[in-house]
Amino acid sequence: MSEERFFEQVKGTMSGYAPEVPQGVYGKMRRALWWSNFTKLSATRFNMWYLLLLLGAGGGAYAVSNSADNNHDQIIAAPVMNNADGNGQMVNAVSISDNTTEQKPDCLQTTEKCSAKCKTGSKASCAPISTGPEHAIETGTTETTVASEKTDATETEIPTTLVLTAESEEAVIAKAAEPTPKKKGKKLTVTQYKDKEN
Amino acid sequence: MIDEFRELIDGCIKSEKRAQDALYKKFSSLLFGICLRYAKNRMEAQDVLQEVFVKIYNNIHTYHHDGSFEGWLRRIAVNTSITHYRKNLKHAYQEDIDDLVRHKNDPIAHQDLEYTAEEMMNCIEKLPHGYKTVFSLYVIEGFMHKEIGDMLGIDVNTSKSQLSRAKNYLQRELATLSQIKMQVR
Repeated sequence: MSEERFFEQVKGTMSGYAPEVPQGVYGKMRRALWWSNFTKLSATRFNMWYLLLLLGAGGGAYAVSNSADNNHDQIIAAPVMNNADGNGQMVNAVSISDNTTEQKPDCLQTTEKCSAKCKTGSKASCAPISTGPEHAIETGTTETTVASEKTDATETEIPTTLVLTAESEEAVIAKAAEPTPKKKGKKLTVTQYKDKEN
Repeated sequence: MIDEFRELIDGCIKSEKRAQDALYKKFSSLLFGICLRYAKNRMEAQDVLQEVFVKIYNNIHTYHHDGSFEGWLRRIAVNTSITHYRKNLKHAYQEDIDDLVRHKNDPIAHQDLEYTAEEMMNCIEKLPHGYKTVFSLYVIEGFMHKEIGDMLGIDVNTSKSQLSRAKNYLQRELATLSQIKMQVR
């Protein structure tokens, strides 16, 4: 048999070959088609990219709202110089730190550079006089007060930011500026003994 | 014939499930037959077939009614099968070499062909993957050796030699089948 004849016969036999397709193939094909449409970049139909966009936007919005909430909810317990009566009396008060404000009150008496850094969230330069949540305890324990807006001394209501007079401001800055020497040697403890009555 | 499919095609362009199902029902068997000729086994052929239909549905808008719709579908099936084949090219050639050593000096039987498509397909399926691909492309699809070489990334002479070996192998398989059929009678 010649090669051509053999090939013709094979072609004739095979050209109409149409075997039965297994049932499962259709389901797999539909799933593959759905996935293909889902991953395809198309503006006309809902797909993975829309979902990612939605998730991204939702996540971003949640993060922003969450961080804003955190900033407002940070309650700092620190002694505050109340200037309502103008005598600079220390009172225990609760102040709320608002990090989201454009101008950070604690930076007003410092340089422009510092205030710029505060806007970007860097608080390193403001550490000695900061009212931020992490610095509030520090200022509170040193029994100094924290800087605040330069408000009127006659302001009666306690603002959301801390209040400080001009004199005490200077004192705070001076105290914060001078380095605290480290104590060497053993720490002395004073023990008081009470005489027994009997 | 084109008018017969026009409604089906328009429905598929609009992603209508009914039209897609009708298209699948009409052509799945034919395209599965093509996939079987190029795949290593039935499972692989099924995977290729589903990929073929996804391609058809996604690209049906590019068909401009200027040629045979069935031919267009066949071409997609062949191209997808060849893409699959090229992915597994290394493995396919390993099979070829083994087979070449085993059947190098076997005599070739020449007998008249009276086989069903199923019987023929069973014999073609036994061919090594590389032989089967070249044989199907040349004999059934009607490609030239140069085109086959370009499609498979092989030399023209390789295509020719593989076709020759495939023919010998297939004739031998068919001769064996004839003998079995004669014994049954």
